[in-house]
Amino acid sequence: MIILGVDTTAVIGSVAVCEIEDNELKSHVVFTVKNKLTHSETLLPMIDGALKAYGIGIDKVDKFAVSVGPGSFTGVRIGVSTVKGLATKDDKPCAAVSTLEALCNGHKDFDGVICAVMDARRGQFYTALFKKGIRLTKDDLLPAGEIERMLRERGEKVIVCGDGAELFASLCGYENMILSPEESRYQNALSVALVGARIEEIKHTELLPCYLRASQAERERKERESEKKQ
Amino acid sequence: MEKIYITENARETELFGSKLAEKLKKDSFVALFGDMGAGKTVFVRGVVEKLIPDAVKLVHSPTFALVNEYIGDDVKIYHFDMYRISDEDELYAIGFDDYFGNGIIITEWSENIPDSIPSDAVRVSIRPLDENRREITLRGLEI
Repeated sequence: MIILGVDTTAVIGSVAVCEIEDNELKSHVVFTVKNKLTHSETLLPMIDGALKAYGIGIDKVDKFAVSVGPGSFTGVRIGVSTVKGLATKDDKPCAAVSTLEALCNGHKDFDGVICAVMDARRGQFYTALFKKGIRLTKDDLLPAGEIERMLRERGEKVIVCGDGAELFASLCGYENMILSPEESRYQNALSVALVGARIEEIKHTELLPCYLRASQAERERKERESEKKQ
Repeated sequence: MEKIYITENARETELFGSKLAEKLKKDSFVALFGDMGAGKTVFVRGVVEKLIPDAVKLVHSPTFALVNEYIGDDVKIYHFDMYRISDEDELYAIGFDDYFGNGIIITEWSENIPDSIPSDAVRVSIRPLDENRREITLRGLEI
């Protein structure tokens, strides 16, 4: 199956065209940029370039996978709306990939807990924990202290990835933790495509951004707390 | 560390902005506080006059546009007005976070976004003493 993967949820923009069979990557082209241009300027030329380099037209794409958030408000919207537009023409299936799951997918062979952290500012991080490709926590918006508490509770070896990794590491005193190497620390559309290949297929009309906004997370937390009390 | 300055008229408030501009980094965050008519936009005009003289005519309060962008050759200034912003969600939904690290950010009506002002921000409060004189309180930067 030919998958087009897209991630524009943060400063980096990334596009992948690849063939994936039974979760195995057969062939691929990946373009990733981090420059002064905005995603709205680079995304379509990158998609065009990646398809050309792979040697196919967009009609040969079987499925569109896109990071739907959490992440930058503008970035998420550019990625989701572009993919929506491309998938609409021939009514192609899509996959809504969590940015955090795609980040962790790059470390799925790590023998311990993978902790993705994206800088959400105001002292908060978008975060989720995974282990060997299994999700341990849902995507959430939390302060560093709360994430540290979760990691301590588990007491396992941890690798941190994502654009908030360095900042988080400076705030978190958990000892058994390493920083993901710089070259695999950030969003990569190949991971988006790999996750997109195995998750539920949806119609382009169902593709929606997942902002994971503060108030949404806070409301949910309050609900959880009130449930506990009952 | 806070320091208080008195300016005698609008031109002096403008020049105070120019003086402060010399000390700003390319990605400084300047949070302005003060009521309607205090002189926040006058201050911003002074900053722009120093850093991007060609753009000084464009400076006005972005109350409805939310942000004005003044683009110079090697410096960018993003001039926000938070008057109509009522909570953090709205701030996220105008893409505010995407401006960080790309240039100087100056926010009018910073009173409305207390949790979004970075801890290393320069804080400027302007208070009218009479029609022309202003008391300016500066925190987070020495000039």
